[in-house]
Amino acid sequence: MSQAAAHSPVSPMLSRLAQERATGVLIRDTGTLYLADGEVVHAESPAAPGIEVLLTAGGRLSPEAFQEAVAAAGAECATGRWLVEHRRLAAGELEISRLGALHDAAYFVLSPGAGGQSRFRHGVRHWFGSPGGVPVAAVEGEARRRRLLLESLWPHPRLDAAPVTAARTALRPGARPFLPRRQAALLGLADGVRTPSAIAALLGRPAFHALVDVRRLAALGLVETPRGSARTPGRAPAWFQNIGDDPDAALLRRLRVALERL
Amino acid sequence: MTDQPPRPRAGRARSRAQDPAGDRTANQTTQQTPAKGSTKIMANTETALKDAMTSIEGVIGVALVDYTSGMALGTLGGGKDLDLSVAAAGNTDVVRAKARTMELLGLKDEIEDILITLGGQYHLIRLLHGRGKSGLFLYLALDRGRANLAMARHQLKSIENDLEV
Repeated sequence: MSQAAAHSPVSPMLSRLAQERATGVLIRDTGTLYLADGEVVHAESPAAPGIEVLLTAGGRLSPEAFQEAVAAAGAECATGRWLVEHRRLAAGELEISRLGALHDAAYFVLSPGAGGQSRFRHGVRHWFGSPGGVPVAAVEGEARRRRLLLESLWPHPRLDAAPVTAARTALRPGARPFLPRRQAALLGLADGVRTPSAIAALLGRPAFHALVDVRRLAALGLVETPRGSARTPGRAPAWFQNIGDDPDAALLRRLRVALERL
Repeated sequence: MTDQPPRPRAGRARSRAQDPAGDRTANQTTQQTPAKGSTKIMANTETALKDAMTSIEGVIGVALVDYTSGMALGTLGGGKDLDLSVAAAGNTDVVRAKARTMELLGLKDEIEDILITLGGQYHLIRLLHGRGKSGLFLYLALDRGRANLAMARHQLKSIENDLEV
């Protein structure tokens, strides 16, 4: 990536919306960004576990407690606030998880390989609620930093979307070097079918964390690095473009991904 | 936080009615808590970082960092001499190396903080262990001439507790 490319905005449309202080949802074929007053308040991508997965899969909240919150406050777009007011989560914790999920999904939404047309629906708000946004430039900057980090660990972008296959060395007992707990857990779920995103969802961790660990494991030779020409991360199928007008598209997409994982 | 309008009474009353905690003593403070909490959502980490900047003597800068991704969830201070985002990302390697060594040694203990002493500065890394906060650390750069290390460690601990609220 040249220096100029590294600093140009990922999406001109997004920069314009930020200038206009727009409120609504930006839909790309890699996911969605929710804006309020030109700042990013939420992001969703089929490649990243949603905030409900991050909060429930790790055991922090029971799925029932989360459902209760959505039922009580989802329609008012105040699910997050409800969780804090009813002492299910501490305010700081909510903020940290929300920011973590936002940047995690935004990384995929803003991936430079995203094709297709972007569209923007004015006025749409996210059901989780949006106390405090992040400036578009900061979100783009973080996505850029993450791309460079992965590049510096092991420059093979195909690993991000390909099924994770454990190398033979990793399977031989005794031959494997010591691995930190999280990397060992990830390698344990590498079955040659699951992608890093699918493993992240199972572990209840952000997808980007899985990308980092997969690159590190591949650099150690414990995960197979796919050969052949570079391919951009998997895209949503063409029919997705047609459901983009439905505000619940993000939900449908996640549902589809979840069904595929079964 | 001050620019948040007070929440309407109706909303407050309803959220109290739904509160499963069912506080029978129902004194003023417990009734006020939910509304107070809602205004704190917005700037919780920011408030914690501000507390660190103002209450700890000799602070140069402070950051809250996710150590797998290297992302600074918030930074305050720093300035041109110390780019906190760069420091945050770089220090994730320090934390990772130490955590790995501890696992390798089979030490069944947790890192509370890591101190790096420079000629003119202290760099203090405090790992957060609260529920849902694992994988984060607070990073504090102090002026060695002005700082009281024992006091700073103590105050950093209470700031971590504030984050939990």
